[in-house]
Amino acid sequence: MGTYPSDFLGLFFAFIKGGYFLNAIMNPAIWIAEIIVYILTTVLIYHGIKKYGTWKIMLFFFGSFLYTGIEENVMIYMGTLPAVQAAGQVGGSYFFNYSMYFFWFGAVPLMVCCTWFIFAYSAFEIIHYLLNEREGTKWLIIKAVLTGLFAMALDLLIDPVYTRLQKWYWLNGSGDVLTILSIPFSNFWGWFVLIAAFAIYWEKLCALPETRGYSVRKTIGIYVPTLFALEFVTVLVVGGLTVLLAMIPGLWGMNFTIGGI
Amino acid sequence: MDADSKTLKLLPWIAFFIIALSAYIEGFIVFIFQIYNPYANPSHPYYSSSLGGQLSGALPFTLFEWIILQFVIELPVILVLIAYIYKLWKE
Repeated sequence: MGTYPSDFLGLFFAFIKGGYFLNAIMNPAIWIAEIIVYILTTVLIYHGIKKYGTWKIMLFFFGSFLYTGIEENVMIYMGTLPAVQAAGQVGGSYFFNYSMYFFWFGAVPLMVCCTWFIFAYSAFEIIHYLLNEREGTKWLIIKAVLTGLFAMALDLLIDPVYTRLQKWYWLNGSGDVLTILSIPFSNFWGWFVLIAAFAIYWEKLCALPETRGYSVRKTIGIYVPTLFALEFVTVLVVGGLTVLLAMIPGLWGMNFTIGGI
Repeated sequence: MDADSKTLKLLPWIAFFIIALSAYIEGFIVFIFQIYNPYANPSHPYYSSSLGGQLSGALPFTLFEWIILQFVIELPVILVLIAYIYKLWKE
């Protein structure tokens, strides 16, 4: 279980987390990780510009902040509320270690938002290529589901490792909530839903100029409100299934593990 | 570089592969070599299960189990990445 540092909320919206920043810049492993992520982000934006055009790839990139970044900030903030803590944190909240990242988007590392973009966009491209860029509603859903599963499969490796590096802390662990490899189930379910839903949303949105005759300006104009609406629905879907599973006798508190991890 | 070039198509594969590989290497660092985050909280339950590592017998699993675990979990990822590179090569 994680214990919040005393200045956690005071630094919640700081782009650089005071003295923790000095801890981070002294750690060469963090330098390497941050540089790799920002280079890969740039490479994929270049790919997106070449394949889809600037405005489309920018809508995908900013989705990692406006969609997942804000959603993660809300989840983290909710975990600090005494009322939520008293209720047993059904959803399995968490918070990031301020000493393990340089720059921040609220309480979510900038690097984590960029990593989400790398995950989501590269998975999206890999699945699309393997399915020969098939089109139509059926294939749109199949591609989105496979993209979500593909990215989530990698998170099954990443999360158990990074929680042990204490890059982030789960408020609930094995025995408290339903866990897979000692990580709350809601994390993996959330990964899948967020990436699959965003894949469908982004494809549909970017097709509006062709399907509905929208101008690019109008399409960009509806991006933020529709994305927030999607965010609201996503939180309901992720939280809803988590609450439903919590009601199944004997399931809550179980840990599906291999080799004790 | 045009949109149909093989090099451009390789970029998402490279990005995903690097993220996966770095996580795998970090997993080895955490679980096997016991190099640990210096800013970790010692009162955290994972601290004792990782810091002491396999040498002190603190880990609840063996190196073999960890390798099998990663292989089983990441098998779909490995297969998809191989399929992608194979298809791109044949194109």
